[in-house]
Order: sequence, then C-alpha cells, then structure tokens
Amino acid sequence: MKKNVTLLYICAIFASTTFAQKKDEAKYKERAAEIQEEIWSNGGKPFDVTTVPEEYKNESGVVIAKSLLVTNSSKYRYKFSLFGGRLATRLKYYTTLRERIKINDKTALEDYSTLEYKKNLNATSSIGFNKIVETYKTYVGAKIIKPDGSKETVNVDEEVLTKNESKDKEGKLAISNLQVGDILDYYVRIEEVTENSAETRGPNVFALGGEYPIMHYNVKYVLDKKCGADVMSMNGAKAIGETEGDDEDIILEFTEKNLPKLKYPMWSSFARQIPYHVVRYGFTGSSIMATAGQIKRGPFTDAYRNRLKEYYRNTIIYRQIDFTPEKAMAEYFGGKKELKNQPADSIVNYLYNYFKWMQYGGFSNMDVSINRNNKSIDWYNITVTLSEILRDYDIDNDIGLICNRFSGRLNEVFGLGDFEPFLKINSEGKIKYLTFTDFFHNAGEIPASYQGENAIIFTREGKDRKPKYADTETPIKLPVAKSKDNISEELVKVEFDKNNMQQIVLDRTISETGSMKQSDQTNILLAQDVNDELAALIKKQASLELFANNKKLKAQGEELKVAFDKERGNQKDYIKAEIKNQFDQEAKELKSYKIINSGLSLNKPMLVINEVFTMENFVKKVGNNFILNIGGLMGTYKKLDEKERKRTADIYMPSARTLKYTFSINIPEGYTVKGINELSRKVENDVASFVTTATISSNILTATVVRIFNNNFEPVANWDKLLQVIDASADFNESKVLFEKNK
Amino acid sequence: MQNIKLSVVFFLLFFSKITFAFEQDSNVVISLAKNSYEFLYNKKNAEVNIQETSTTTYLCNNFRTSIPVVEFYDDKTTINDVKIYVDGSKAKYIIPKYEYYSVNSIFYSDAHVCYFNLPLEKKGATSEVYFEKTTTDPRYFTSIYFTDQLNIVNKEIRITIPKWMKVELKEMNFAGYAITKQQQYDAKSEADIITYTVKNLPQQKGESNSPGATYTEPHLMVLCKYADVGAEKITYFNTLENQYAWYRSLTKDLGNNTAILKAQAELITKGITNDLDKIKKVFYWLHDNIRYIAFEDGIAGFKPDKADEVLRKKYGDCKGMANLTKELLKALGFDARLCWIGTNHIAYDYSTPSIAVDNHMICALLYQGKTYFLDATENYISFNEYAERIQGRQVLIEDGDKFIKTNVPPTTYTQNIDVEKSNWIIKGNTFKGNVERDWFGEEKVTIFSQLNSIKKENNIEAFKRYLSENNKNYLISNFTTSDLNDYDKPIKAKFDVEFNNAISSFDNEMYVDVDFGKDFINFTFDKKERTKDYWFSYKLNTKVEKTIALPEGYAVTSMPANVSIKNNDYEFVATLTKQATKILYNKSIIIKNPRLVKNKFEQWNNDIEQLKNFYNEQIVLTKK
Repeated sequence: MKKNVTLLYICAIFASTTFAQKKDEAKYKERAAEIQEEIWSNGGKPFDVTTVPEEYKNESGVVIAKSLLVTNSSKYRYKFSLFGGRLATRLKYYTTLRERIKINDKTALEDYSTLEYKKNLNATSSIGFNKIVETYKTYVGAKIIKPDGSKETVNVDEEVLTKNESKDKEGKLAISNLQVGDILDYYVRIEEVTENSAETRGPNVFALGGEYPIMHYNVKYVLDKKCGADVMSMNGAKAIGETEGDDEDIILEFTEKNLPKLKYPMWSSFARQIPYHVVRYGFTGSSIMATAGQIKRGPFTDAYRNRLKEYYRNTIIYRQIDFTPEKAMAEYFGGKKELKNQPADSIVNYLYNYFKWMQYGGFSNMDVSINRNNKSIDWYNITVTLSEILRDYDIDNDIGLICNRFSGRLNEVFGLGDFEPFLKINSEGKIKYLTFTDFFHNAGEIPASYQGENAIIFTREGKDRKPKYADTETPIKLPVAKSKDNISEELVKVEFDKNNMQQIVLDRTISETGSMKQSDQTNILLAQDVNDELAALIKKQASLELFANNKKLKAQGEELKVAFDKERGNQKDYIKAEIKNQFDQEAKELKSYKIINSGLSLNKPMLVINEVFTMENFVKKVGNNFILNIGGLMGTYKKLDEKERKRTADIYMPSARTLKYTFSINIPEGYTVKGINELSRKVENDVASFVTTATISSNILTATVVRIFNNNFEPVANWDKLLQVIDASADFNESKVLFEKNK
Repeated sequence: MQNIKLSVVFFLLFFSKITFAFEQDSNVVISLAKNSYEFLYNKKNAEVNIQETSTTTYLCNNFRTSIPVVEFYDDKTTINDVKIYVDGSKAKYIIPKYEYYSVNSIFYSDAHVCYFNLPLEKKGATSEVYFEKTTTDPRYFTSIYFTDQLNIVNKEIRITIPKWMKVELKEMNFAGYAITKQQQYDAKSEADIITYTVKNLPQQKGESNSPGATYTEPHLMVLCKYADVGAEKITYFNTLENQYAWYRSLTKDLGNNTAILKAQAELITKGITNDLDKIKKVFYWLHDNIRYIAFEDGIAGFKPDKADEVLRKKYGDCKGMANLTKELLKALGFDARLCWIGTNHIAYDYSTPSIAVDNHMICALLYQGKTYFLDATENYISFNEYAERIQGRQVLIEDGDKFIKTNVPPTTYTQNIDVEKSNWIIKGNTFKGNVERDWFGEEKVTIFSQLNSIKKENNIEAFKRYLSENNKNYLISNFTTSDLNDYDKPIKAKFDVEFNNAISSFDNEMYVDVDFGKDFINFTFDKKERTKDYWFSYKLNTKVEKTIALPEGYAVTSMPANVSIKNNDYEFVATLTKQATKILYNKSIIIKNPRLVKNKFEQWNNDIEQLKNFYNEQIVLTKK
C-alpha cells in the first residue's frame, strides 16, 4: 500500500512537473513573440538600410547596423520567511544585441551561419521558505533580406538543445536560408532577474571598429535611477553621451558611423592606440565608483589608488602580514645578530628570492610541467608583506603602482586590476626596484613592460604597525633600459659535415640579459631546476631533498623523482622548439644541449644556453663548390611587404635591445671563401643600427652582426628609420658566401 | 564531411571507455580490463538488448597522478551504472558528469559523454572503474575494440550469445597480437560464451594522415543477423538485402515536395538546354548555396531530411544534400538515386552488412548508360571527378526495393594536376619570368577551398602569397586568373614575377636555383616515431616546365645531375637540358598510390634524399 502511495505521489509530482514545463514553454514563446515585435519595430532607420556603399563591395561582410541596448530596473519585494519578513530588491537586466550584416562571401556566411546561447538558466535557490530568485533567459530572432528585397523571418524553433534540463538549457541555431548576398538581421535578448544587488556588471569594452566595417553603431544603457555607472572613453573616442530618461533613468549612449575595420600592426599597444569606450554599472553594494543615480566618468586612478592604500593599511593594521620569512632569513645569514649587519641589498635580494620560491610552489601536487613558469604571482599581497618585512630591517621602501605599456596608461585606470604594484627601495644599495610580474626577473631588474612608464609612490607615514599613507603620492617615471642592457648574443661555431657538405653542424651558445632572457627562461627551464635554484639561493632544501627528509613524504619523493626525470627528457623538445622558432625549420639532429647558467641568480643574471645541432638547407652545391647562406645563421628576419611598410600608428617596441651574432665558420680544407667583402655593411641612424663585418683568419671565417634598437618607443615619424634597419637585416639574412674548391 | 550517424556510432565504440588527453607513457597502465557483452531479450519492449559491463583496473607504475575517464552514450545506449574505486575503496566523492558531447564538425548529435577524473593515489596504487551499459538495438552494436590509449597488461572480452541470437564475430587486425579465443556452450543459459584474452596490448597512437582505426586496431566486427525469439524472428542485417531494406524504409517516404523542387530545378537551369550542362549547373549550385551542417540525432542520423527542407534551410548534412541533389535532378527528368557509401576511412565493405560499413551518402545519376556520382558535400569538385575518399569505394545505389552494388570509379593521379609553365630571364641577381599555373581535380578543390576560407578582400593577396610561398622577394605582377566562380573548369593563373636575390654571383660565375617550390624537400619519415602507414590526402601530379634564357655572354658549366625515380607508388623526375641559348627544366612529382606503407618509408627517405640533393645544387653559369 505504501508503495502505491509513493508511486501516486511520484506520479503527481511528475504530472505537475510536466504541466509546469509546458506552461514555462508557453510563457517563453509568448515572451519571445513580444520581444520580436518590440525589436523588429524599434530598430530605427539604420536597421532599414538594404544597400551598402560601393567602397565596401569587396569586403567580406559589412555591418550595416549594430546596436546594444542594456536596461535594468529594480523593485522592492517584501519576502516572508520563518524568521520574519524582509525587503528584497529584485533586479531585472535586459540586454539586447542587434546586428544587421551584409554577407558578401563564404567566410562571412560561415561566421554568421550559427548561433549558440544559454537559453535558460534558473539558479533560483531556497533556504527554508525564503526563495532567492536568479533566472537567465535568452531569446533570439533573425530575419534575412534577400537581394531582391524580400524578407524572411528565420524559424528559431529549429534550434537544437545541447543541454536540456528543466532549469538549464543551452541552444544552438543554424540560420536557415542564409546565402552569400543576403543581409542577415538578428538579435539576442538576454533577460536576467536576480536578487544579487552587489553584482557589478561589466566592464563592457566597446572598441570602435571590428572585423568588418561598421556603417552604424549604437550602444545605449538605460539604467534605473537606483543604479550607478562608471564610464570612460579613450584614445580619441568622443565622450559617451549622458541624458535623463523617464523615471529619472540614467541614459548613456554613443553612436558612431562608418567605422573602418581595425588593423593590428606589429609593435603596437592596442589599449593605447585603438579608440574605445568602457562601461561598468551596478546597484548599491556593487564595486563601482558611482553611487545610485550617478554617472562617474573615468579614469579612476585616484580613487583606486586610495582603495589600495586603504587595503594595504588594513592589511598591516590587522596583522595579515606573514613574517615567517624573517626566521628563514635569520638562519640563512647565521642568526639575527648577523642578519642586522647585512647590507640592504643582501636582505632585499634574499627576501625577493624567498617570495619567488614561495610563489613558485612545491610539488606535492606532482605538477612538474614547465607550465608552472607561467604561473601568476599574488603581487598585491607580496608587495605589502615584503615592504613591511624590509621595514623591520630599516630598509626604507615604498609601494609603487604602475600600468604596463600594453594596458592603459597610469592616468587611465578604470579598475583596480589595471594597477600593478611594485616596491621602490630607498636604501643606499644597488637594488632600486622589486617587481612581481614573473619568476625570471632578478632583484632590481625592471620588466620591459614597465620601462619608461609613469608610476606613483605611496609614502608610508609612521614606523609602527598602524601606518598611514600620505594623501599625496610622489610621481616617478621608471627608467628605460638602454640597448646595452638588453642583449642577446649568439656565438655560433659552424662546421661543414665531413660526410655531407650540404649539412652543417652549429655549436651555438646563446647569452641573454635584461629583457631578452625571460622568454627563453620560461620556455626552456624545467620546473624542478627553477624551484631548486630558487631554493638554493635562500638555502632551502631542493625539492627532492625536502621529500626525502620527511618520513611521510619519502615515498612520494621517489615518485616525484621519476616524474622529474620524465620531464627532464622533455627538455630536448623545448630546445628543439627554440631552434625551430629561430630558424623556421627544425634541426636535423639535436646532438647535445646544456643550460650553462639559468640567469636566476642576481650574481649571475645572464641566461646562457649551449646547443649543438645539425641543419640542412643552408648550403647549396654549385659544381664543385658550395654556397652557404651565412645570413640565415642569425635566424629568420622578416621582410616587410608594401602593406606592412605603411604605418600610421606609433611604435611600441618590446624594449631597446641589442642582438649580436658571431659566426665562426671553419673553412673546409681545400676550399677558399669568396664574397666576404659583401658581408660588411653598415646602416645607422639615431634610432637603430645594423652593422656587419667579416674577416678570415687561420682558416676561420668570422662574421659579426650587431643589430640595435635604441629605444623602446618610437613615434611613427621614425618608422622610416626603423625600416632602414629592418630592410638591412632582411637583406643580410639572404647573404651568401662561396666556398670554392681550390683548383 | 563523412558525418552521418554511423560515424558517431563508430566514434563512440572506438573511443568507448578510453582515457584521453594525457601523455602516452607507461606511468598508468590498464592492468586488467574485463569487458562482458551479453545479448538479452527484453520482453517488455520486444527488443534485443546488449548488456555491457566493463571493469577496468588502472595501475600507477611510477608516480601519483589522475587521469580523465570518459564513457559515451547516446539515444541507443544508456549508462545504467558507474562505480569508481580508488585503492580498493568506493570513491563516492567522485561524481561523474553527464553532458552533451560536441563532436568536431557535427553541428548536433545525440552523442553524450559521462566523464570524471580518476585519481591514482601513489606508485603501485590501483583505481577501478565499472560501467554498465545497455544498447537497445543490435544494429548499433557493431564492433568491440581491444586497444586503448593506455597500454593494457591483461584484457578479457567475453561475449555471451544465446542460441536464439545469430551473431557473427569477425576478427579484424589480429595479426601481430597474441589474442587467444575460447568458446564454450553453456547449457544452462543455452548460450555460446566466447572469450578473448590478450596480454600486453600497446596503446593506440594518434598519427597524422594515418589509416582509420578499422584498418589498424585489433577488434571484433559484430554482425548482428537476427534473433529467433520464440514465435518472433527479428531480422537485423542477416544479409545486405536486410540492411538495404532498413535504409530503404527510412528513405522511401520522405515526403519531398516535388513542386517546390521542380520550380527550383527549373530556376537553376533556366536557359540551359544541354543535359550535362543542366546537371553540372545543379551540382555547382549546390556547392555555392547549400552549407554542410551535420545533424546526427537518433534515427535522423540515418534518415535524410526532406529535399525541399534542405532547399529552404540552405543547409543540410550529407544525407540531406544527397537527397536534394537527387530530387533536383529528378525534377529535371533525370534518373538520380540515393547512395550509401563508406569513405576510405573505413576498412569494411558491404560483404559484411553493418551500419559500420558506410558513413556517407551521395547521389548517383544514371545517364545514357553511365553512372555518375555526385557528392554535394565535396565543394568545388568538378562533375565526374571524385575525391580520394570515395574513389573506388563500394557503393549501394537505391533501386526501388532492390539495390545496385557497384563501385565509384577509381581515378588515377591524372585527375589531380598542378602544372607550372614558365619562361625566365636573368637580370643581375634577379630572375624575371612569366608564369602560367593550372590546377585540376583535387588540386583545384584545394585552391578553391583555401580561397573561399579567406575573406574576399584578402583572397587575391592570399593567392599571391601562396604562389610566392610567402617569399617577399618573389614579386608578382599582372596577375590574372580564370573565373574563380566557375568550378567546372580548372583554375588558371597567369602572372609576371620579379624574383629578387634569386641569383648569386661570385667573380665570373652566376648560380641559379632552378626550383622555387622544392616540393617534398623535407618530407621524410622518422621510422622510430612513425608507427603507421602514411596516407596522402589524394594522389598528386605536379609538373614544372621552365625555360631559362642564358644571359648574354654566359655558358652553363655545371648542372645538378638529373633525378629519375619511378616505382609503382610514386615518381620523382627532375631533368635539366642544356640548349644553345637556354636551359629547360622539367620536373614531375607523381604520387600514384596515396597509401604509403610503413615498410616503404626507408625507400621513400632515400628517394627524397636524391631529390633534396638535386634541389640543393644550383646551375653554374660562367662568363665566356
């Protein structure tokens, strides 16, 4: 009997669930029809356009009109619960994207042939009788305008559901009857209801341009008066318009016409060069700058700087600083007394290495992969911790904030994350800056992405643990390293293979300093080696020792050794990848390699790697003689085509730098070298230079190449000067010498 | 392209219970895998089910880790139970996830995946996974694979076939594996119990351009023929006729709206009077106007969409596109038929009736005593030309309640020509020339596909980059092409070239690099790394005819020795002929047999070495 009751109960639930689902579907369809009517009838003239200007006839696609409309509203609702009633704010967000695009070829057709969306998510939860509403629904619609002007509405019921749970649905729609030559006009409306008023929406970034030319672009936010918004318009974008709507709604809007496609030339900083708007909004409780009913225009450099100050102050006051490194440091220097007598640089360097080691992490998770070299560092907390520990040893320092060269400028901060903190050391030592971008900068080295950038320095007042930061900050500009500080030097000994003259053996020793080494360190150094070298610098146990000396971890340590050995076997592939990247072809055979110096230590900061490998395709046989593409030994240097040579944007170089190559080529017995006079070249101007020489001595042909870029930034006016050096490098890249068989 | 339902089924079976996306090493092995398959009669649904249980024990050899475990299911298979044990204890904390599985290039299918991460807690530790699955239609139970992406130490496959069930097990690719078989009759259950055991199975290895798994992996092809269940006999694919009858049942009443199709066919061919021109026009119209989007949902994976629906939507999968091709041609009065075909990815043919035999549908046109095959998914191929994947393949052509079993015509390398004719003069260190390039067959298809995958405003520039091999010294001007919207004819390009820095000069000598493209120069096989045969995408036939005028006052003093390698699989021929005022260069690279077997790699490498030596030697011109 009980069984039957249960069955009845289940049937009743099932029946009601089915009924509820059908009701939901009907409601969804009803709403979808309302939305379609609303959107199709409110597009305005730009969405009625059916022709595109002649100038766009060769474009793959042309966005005739594109609009984004965001609206929100809030309503108080009284909610009952077991513990009494409460007022809850129910927030609605409606986001409507509409785009009308002329499809001119199959790539644009492919781009626009399908839509994927989260159709429905109901994350509404209940605690007792208290229900917290959280729903998300997407409605899509599309119509096609054929070249003859006929219109056809796409049947969105042809969607397929890739997730079809009662509260979570994901859909896909293949747009039917869409052909090259058509205009596709589609929309996506997302309707969200939530009671999470603390949520910050955005930042939404609107670049003024895209993959296709845009004839009309409108973005509009109609926000509830209880909502606020932060906005910023950069790189020449006109300020977003601001008006008041019904019920004191905040209206933000911009309209652009005839936006060209975006271009992405090399050596650019897009965040500083492409015009864009950014919008962020939210209700009271969200982390935005504006308060209810307010629009705040960025940048917010000052405000976020003050927030960070407060954060750092609280971190110190509430003793959230981890001082454990002090104990390790005392042990390292032979006791507290000895520690006090250490020069500032020694302490700074020790602690810097200590934190890098800490952040690099151990291997209890058995993750020995090289990917660890790209791990991000918790720089906000390390900065203040390190700062406070240094103060314990009377090493005056300040926290600084900077924005890297490939994000917005310091005076263009829109969010807290735009700042990157660092430490400025004010002691008499050599180390002046500590940065936390990666594991491969040594103490005092400034990342290339920071060089020449403005920064602000917090002045900490008071020596105790209840500090204040001064209201005003000291502006500084971080120095730019000279080309002599960022050197990549290659010494390459070249031998012809005795058994096959068309194959050469390269014994290549690469030495890298400054900004030239981090990429190779990241891509080549093994996690075990990085960890163990950092550990050695602070007299900590190497990873395997650590495991071996702990009874509980001993067995795991043995396993770890096997994992390390296996990863060490992969290092040859990392080296091969470096060779392929340099020469655009794989080494025929990698005979040996050695990491001579990792560059992780302040005392030996140069990365030095030796590789011995054979290469083909550098030597051509000509009768009894051989031609060597000697210029190719420096790797592949790009020749620019006409399009690339035209430039209107300033040049953001990775860094000022020097690239040096010395090729020592053993002249095979019985051969004479011809063509070395052509190898001495010199192109020099005030921004860059390319100088080569060639000599023969004791049967060794020695060729040298020095390529220098003097600055990390050049105004576009200097592009022609850079082109001179780029062209000279590309030309030399093809230069050849003849090894003539003696007659 | 080859995505009808079958390919998904095949995929699911092949990758069933595999672990993927981790390194193929021996840190984790399958120490024991026991798979059991039993045919059961489900009285309630009056259907035969296959109950599958698998217990897989994973052993950690070296260091602790975790591995992803996946199990596929779909409309015809359900996962009834999953049990996970870590070091002997039930791991309730591991919650399998069940999700839609997105198969590459298939817009939507009924494929789903159950997956989770399985920890192996230390060296020597084992973890065990138990799955129980039911397949509800024996037609979909087509194969049992032995290998996995991990090495397997011991594997047992046990198949219980009651005497009322007629099943044939075909042993495939067993050679080289120590697989033993035992068969016994269990009187109690009145069933044959067939047990295969194997030790030390090496892991599967994915390699580019390799034959499909049906060619390489040891497996059982399961041919479910019929079930004699009491008074009822359920016939599956006892014969090919049965298989065709099933296909026929799915295709004979599609309800195509012939009026709409006729109107469209007439619109497409308006003004054309010649039959073949009409046929071609329809075929190329399909290439331009119908997008390939694959839907493989349940029975829809085998049943074509209505032709007028495909026409309305302007997209379809191979079945729908084949159906539309057929109906448009039929509307014009031609005898067009649906065809089922297995592409060359599949080792089987119709001698083994099974849905695993085919994975594609095309259209056959019976015209004036000849059969033509039209594959609407093969964009840009010319009428009466065939892509490598279907060339020579067995095909079933519908013929009312019967069928015609035949083959798509095999095609030789002569279909796929890439020819370059050029004349060159030397000016200083620059080569100046005029070039004509023609592409036919699948070479033409490749060029069209590339051009149409690049934005319109960039495609001519991209075409030039392709011709110059992105060499910025190879400057192309006066570039003209044939009509790039005409898929019926070969693509032709004509252009002038100024090739700077192409000539090296030292003293009284000039050195001329005669071959710009240097096809296959580095195309060798590492015999240690490569374990499988190499299959070229299609047969190749590349020809270069180059004339180089000798500069005034210079004579040829040295040339690379000619190369002539000819065998049944390929030909590499490069010849230089010295004449009074010019040099003639002729090169021919032909891949006659696109399936290069592993034991010929050494010969291939040696032959490429000869070609490389030719490429790496230059012509010497000496001042008289």
